[in-house]
Formats: sequence, C-alpha cells, structure tokens
Amino acid sequence: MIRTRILANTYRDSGTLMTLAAKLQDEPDVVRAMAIMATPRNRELLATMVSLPPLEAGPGDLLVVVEGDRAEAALAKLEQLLVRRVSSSSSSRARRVAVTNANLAMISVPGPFAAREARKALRNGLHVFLFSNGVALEDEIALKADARERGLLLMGPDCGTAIIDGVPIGFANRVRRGSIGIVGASGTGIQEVTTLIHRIGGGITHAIGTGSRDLSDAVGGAATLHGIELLARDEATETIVLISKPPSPEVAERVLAAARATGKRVVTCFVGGTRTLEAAALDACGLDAPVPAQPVTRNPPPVIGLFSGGTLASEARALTHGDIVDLGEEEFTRGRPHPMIDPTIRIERIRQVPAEATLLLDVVLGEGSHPDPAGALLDAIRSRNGITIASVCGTELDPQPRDAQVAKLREAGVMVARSNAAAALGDLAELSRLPTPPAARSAAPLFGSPLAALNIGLDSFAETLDGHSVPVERVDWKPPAGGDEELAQILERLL
Amino acid sequence: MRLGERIDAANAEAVRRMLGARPHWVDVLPAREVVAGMGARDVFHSGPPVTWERMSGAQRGAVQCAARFEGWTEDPSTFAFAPNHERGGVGPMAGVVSPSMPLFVVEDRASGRRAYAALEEPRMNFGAFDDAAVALRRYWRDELAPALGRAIRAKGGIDLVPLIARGLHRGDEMHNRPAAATSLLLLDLTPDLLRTSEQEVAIRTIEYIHADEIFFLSLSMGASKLMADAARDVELSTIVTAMARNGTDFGLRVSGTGDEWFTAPSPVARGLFVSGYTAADAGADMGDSAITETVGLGGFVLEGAPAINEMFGATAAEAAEAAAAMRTITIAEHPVWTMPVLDFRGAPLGIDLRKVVDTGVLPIIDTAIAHKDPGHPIIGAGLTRPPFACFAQALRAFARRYA
Repeated sequence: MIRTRILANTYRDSGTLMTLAAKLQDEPDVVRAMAIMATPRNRELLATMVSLPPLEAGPGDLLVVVEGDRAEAALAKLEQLLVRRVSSSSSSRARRVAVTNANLAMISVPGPFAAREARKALRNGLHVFLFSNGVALEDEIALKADARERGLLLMGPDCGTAIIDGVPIGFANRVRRGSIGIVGASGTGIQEVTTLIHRIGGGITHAIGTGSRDLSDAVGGAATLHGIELLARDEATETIVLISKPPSPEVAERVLAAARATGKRVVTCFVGGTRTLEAAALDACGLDAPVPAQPVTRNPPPVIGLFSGGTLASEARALTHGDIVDLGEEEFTRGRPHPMIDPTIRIERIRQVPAEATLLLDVVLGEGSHPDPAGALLDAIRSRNGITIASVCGTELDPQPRDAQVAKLREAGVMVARSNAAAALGDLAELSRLPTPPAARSAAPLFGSPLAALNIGLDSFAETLDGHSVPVERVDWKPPAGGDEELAQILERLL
Repeated sequence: MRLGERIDAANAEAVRRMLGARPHWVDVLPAREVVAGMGARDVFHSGPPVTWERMSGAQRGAVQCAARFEGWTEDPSTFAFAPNHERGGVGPMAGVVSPSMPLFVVEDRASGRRAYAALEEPRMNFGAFDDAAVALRRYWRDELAPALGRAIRAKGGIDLVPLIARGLHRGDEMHNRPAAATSLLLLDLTPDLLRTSEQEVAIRTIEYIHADEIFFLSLSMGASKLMADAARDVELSTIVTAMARNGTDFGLRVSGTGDEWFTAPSPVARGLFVSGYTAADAGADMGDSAITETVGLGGFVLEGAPAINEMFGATAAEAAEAAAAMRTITIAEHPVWTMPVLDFRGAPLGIDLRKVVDTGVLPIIDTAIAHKDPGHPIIGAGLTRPPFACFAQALRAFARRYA
C-alpha cells in the first residue's frame, strides 16, 4: 500500500527531509518512506522509484510518500515528526537559562509595578513569591482571589521568606529536611523557627510565607488557608506550625479550624502574645518549652534593642518592655537597603547607645543577608563599653556558618543567647536538643513538579537558586510603558 | 471574554493571515503601469507622509535624481508626494518612485492581491543625483527591467516564501544580507533569461545580479509587504503591519487602527561607515525596508546570519541576544523560515504593540545609512531601533478606539 501526503507551502531543508523520511521508515510495517520538496526534478526522480497518481504539488510543497501495510498510520504521525526539537542548549548566553517549565515567579520589583507582574505570572500559570511591599490592599485581595481560582499559591506581598522543597526563597536559611511544615505571615519569624527547629534536631518540609497582611480581616487569611491546604496534602508533613502577629479573633478561628481539620499536629505562635518563637520550635519538635525566666522588673538596666528583623523586634518588645527599634521599618530604609543587607544604620545607632544601657541585637544569617553580619558590627560593639546581648538566627549550613558568627561576637564580649526570646530575657542557657534527630523525610514537590523559577527583580534571589541547582531564568525587567504610569494604565486595560 | 483575550484572538487571526499569504514575484513594469491612476508628476517615497519642506537630505537628493531621470524641470516642491505604503508598495532607503521607474511586481497567490517593491541600488536610493546615478536608473529602465520582466513572465512567477527559507538556511537575514537568496534567484532565473533575451543582454543581466549581492532585497521587501498587508485591518488586533522611515520621521501602523500612521523623529543608526565617511555624516534612518522586520526577517533573524555581525560592530553573541529578545515582543514563529543554528527554530513574527509597550523591548532593525545631505551614495550600514514614542501613540489611539 502506497500513501502520499502533500503539505502545501512547507519548505524544509534536505537534511530535515531525510531525517523525516528516516523517522517514517522507523514506524511499524513501513517498507519505504520518502520526503521531498515537490520540485519538477525531485518529482522526476521520485517517479523512477515509485509510480504515483498525478498529484497537485509545486516546488514549495512538501511531498511525502510512504509504502507499507500501515502507511496510513505512519502518515498520521507526520505533523508530530516534523515538529522541531526545542533547543535546550543556550551556552552562549551567559547566566541565562531558559526555563520552559518554570512553576514559580519570584517578584521583587518596586511596589507600584509588583501587582501587575504578579497578575501576569498567575495568568501564565505560575505560583508567585511576591517579595515587594507597597502593594495596595485591594490588589492583594484581588490577586489572592485570582490565585485561588487558578489553584496557584500566592506568597505575599511583603513576603520575605519561604522554603519550598528544601530550597530557600528570598531571605531564608539552609535547614535540614524533616517532617515539620510552616505557614507564616512573618519573615524573620519563619527564619527563627526554622533555624531553631534545625538546631534542635528537627527538619522542615516546606515553609510557606503568606505576606504580613494575610491574617488581617480584609485579606481573611487567604494565603494561610491555602498554605494549610497544601501542607495537609503533603504526606511528609506531620506537624504544621502557624506563625503570625496576633490576628483578629474571627480570622484566627477560621485558620485554626482549618489547621485542626487536617488531622495533623498543629503548633501556633502568635508573636507578641504568650508564646515565643523558641517555644513554638520546641513544641513542633515534641519538646517542652523551658519555663520562661521572668523579665527583671525591679530597677532593670535600660534595654535598647537595635533590630534588623521585624518579627524579632516585636517579640523582644513584648518580652523586655525596653526601647526596641526595628531598623527595617520604612523610616529607616528609605533610600537605602534593608539593615539585613546593609549594616550602616545599625553601626551608627550602636555607637550612640550609652554604656549603662544593655544593648540587644539580632543577627540574621542566611541567603540574601549580609555576608558577615556579625563581623560588620564588631567595631561598633567594641567601641562602646557596655553589655551587649545578641541572638544569632541561622544554622551551620548557612552561607555565613552560625558557629563562626557566634565565635566572633563572643570574642568581642557579646553574650550570645540561644534564641531571640532568650536574648530578650537575658537567659543564657543552652538550647534543648532532640536526643536523636528523627530521620529526615523528603518532602514531595510542593507544586507537583520540581522547582523551577522565573526571577523578576533582585538578582540575589536568583543567585540563591543557582546555589541550590534550581533552574532559574532572570527576567530583564523594566518598568512597563517606559515608566509612564498613565500609559501603563492604558496598557493594563488591553492585556 | 476579557478585552485582552479578544485582542489575543484578533492577533492570532492577523498572524494566521500573514502566514497564509503566498507571495510570488510575477513581473517588472514601469510604475505608471503598476499603480493605477499615477499622475504625471506623482512621486512616491519611503516612510510616512512628508512634505518637500520637511524632507530629509537624501530623500530630496533622490527626488532630484528622479526629476533628472524623467527630464522634469519644475521646482520639486510642486510634485505630488505620497508614501509608497499608501500606494500599494514599498521602496528601499529613499524609496523614490516616479512614473517611468521600473518596479518589481509581487502577487499574493492566496488572495490575488498585488504589491510593488522599488529597485534596490546604491546611488539614487541614497540621495545621489549625479550622472552615474541617473545612468544606472536609465540602464534599469532600458535594459535590466525589460529583461527581468520577460524572464519572470516566461517562468510564470517565483514562489518567494520557500526561496527566503533557503536563503535563511544559508546565512541570510533578508534585509542587509540577502546574498544567498540573490544567488539562488539568479540560478533559478538564468535559463529563462537566456531563453527570453538576446545573449548579450542576458549575460549583462546575469553579471549585474551576480555583482549585486543585495539584489534580492526588493523581493524580500515585496514578499514582506504582501504578508504584512494580509494582516491589515483586523478589528481589535495590536499586530504591527508597517514600520517605515523617510529620513525625517519613523512611522508605525497597527492592524486594528488601519491606515493611521504613528510617527516620531527617526533615529540615526549606529554602525560602520564606508571609507571617507563618519557617524557625523549620517542622516536619520530611512526606508520602507523595515517591512522585513515587520514579518520576522532582518534584525529578527540575526541569530541565523552571523556573517553580517561584523558589519554592525556586534559580536555574534550580542546580535543573537538582541534578536532572541524579539521573541518577547512577538506572538508566533514562522513555520518555514527557520534557522539551522537554533535547531530550526522559526523566525519570531507578529509584533504585538502591547508587548513592546509593556517590556520596552523595541524591534531591532538592520539598515543601511545614507548621508544627511543630498548628493551621496551609500555611506554605511548598521542597526537601529524605532522610537518608543510611536508605540506609545499607537497604544493610546488603539485604546481610544477599543477600550
């Protein structure tokens, strides 16, 4: 049986045609296959090999002839066989890796443009890690509803930290994998709990950031509820830890009900409330929290806290009644990087703390942070003759190994406490540890396939993923419409 | 359906039409026989509309050359000027067309629609109007054009899409480098030339084409024009249907806004210069030839044409990077115009106005460079990009009409 097929106006190079013929010949029960451009000369040649009925085909048309019992079946695959291979090599393009199967967009462009990039990412079927702050509340609500409808997770806006499939996203620490999943509305809260769990001997499946406003009445815990749902389905997650500032009672009730309904162990920590982040970490690992030392209330030396982590500052404020400043607040970061990256403002402030005051510090390690956050503060600390108590949030796996950071601080006379809460309470006891760490369980990919990301904004986020061998494509982002806001709004209506 | 989705659908339709065109080169005829109703003192030119007063130096030089060629003695400001694009055609560089100028005639065999492309040559097109420039046009009119016309009519036309595909496989990009396509065309046409012209005429014609590597440009422009025209006037489509420059303004047309031009001052290309000229001599960018980029050729397929990178002072990697970025502003890939170096990935085509405004990535255009004053032949070649303002204007006009 001889079958022919003409693909009109389909020029292919002779090499491609030979490959096509060879592929057709490999199909079952095909005796011969030929693929030519139907030029007069090619058709003459063909006629010497096989006798064909008259065909309407010109020099620009691709003519395929297949001989064999199942010629028709082979020809049915023609289109598929002609499809070009997608190029996977892009070695000539330095630092650019084409990620055709990206499932996560990391967005850290300026706030006014961030909602738009997030909307685009969701439309393209990507989960979103939205680091940017300054996104309007109504945009956050709409984005989270949109994400929900599409079955996609939107972390943020103002989400600093996440760990997905063991890979740190944004400002996050390198921690052991294990059986504890976290959903948190607070970046340094997640960092403190994940690093403490690691140091206690436990491990993390995923840590999902939700953005600082998620548990407000207006947003209603949309991302938190979604995160709980994802962890509920994740077999490796046995314990779910919820971290946030104290939410409104209705939202808290809804979120706790959802967490309990998963049937998994639930640990909550509403920072600034009655429970410390350390207690939550111990509880998550199945250990009892030590009885908290009471803050010294009678004639306490004045405490001045200079913090880089917002949640750590809140926790310290609740425990010390001291003068705790969060240097990550907008009034301090306008026009300069966050103090977790740039220690300048903290150095200035440390030098101004009077000797009779106790200086309280947090040193936050991990991906995205300053390469030597403790070292950067030493001169300033030494220059003042007073008591300094610090906590170091991090692990020995971090780019700035915790042991070395602690040693530097101690050498400069700093008392290093085991956790932020312990530092605030002046409690220098060691951290409780699990006698034998439970075997790490490897979590299933949270998004159903291995992590692959698009990075839109800060390159350091992409570098982190490079270091974890996660494919990441850097989007060369410019403000839409050349920064013309009116034009950008017009464009928005047309997308 | 959301407006954005309706626009997406309209754009898919516009590109479907673009790809459905079957441009063939069918004839070479004098302009007055090609353009119905062409007046005795009509002069067509490249780019958007322009008056004699605002006309660039090179384009004025070309008009003066046309006047000498036609034997006109009137003041050029009295001629009736019109853009080629508004008279059914395109012309390289100055693109000046007067009634006796021969034109390549192309036909879309899918729709029967015809278009013209003016001659490619290195003198009058760049503003020269000396005896050599006039003589070259006369040679075209008196010998070359009739010989080509006889040959192509005898042949019954040449299908341009597959010919362009073969050229792309041989390292052409079809705007500044259509060298392989020129050779292929010459091979294809030679028997017909020998059959239809006296031997000496045929030989001179073959020698002329052989010596002019860019000969095929008129035909790649003609094919591009027919494809772009097929995509015109699709309601709600934001696909770009023309980019054209007259040495004064850059003009843009978009499918959904019909014949309206969106213009801004034409940029000056960066590139390399012929010995004796420098960047200070360069006039603003000129020519209808960016019709090739409009359908995914030229700057859009630089990755497949490494041989011309040096002309632009770019490394292969830089040119490839710039061309690859065109995929962020287009919505399709040509199924036949493929590049072996990209594992036969297709040329990016269907420029979406929205994507340009959104990303700020501007189309990259290969171009030749003319002098800013009249009276010079070609002075260089380089790369340029359209002004963003054209796209911003077009988007505003589109939104006024549809949103």
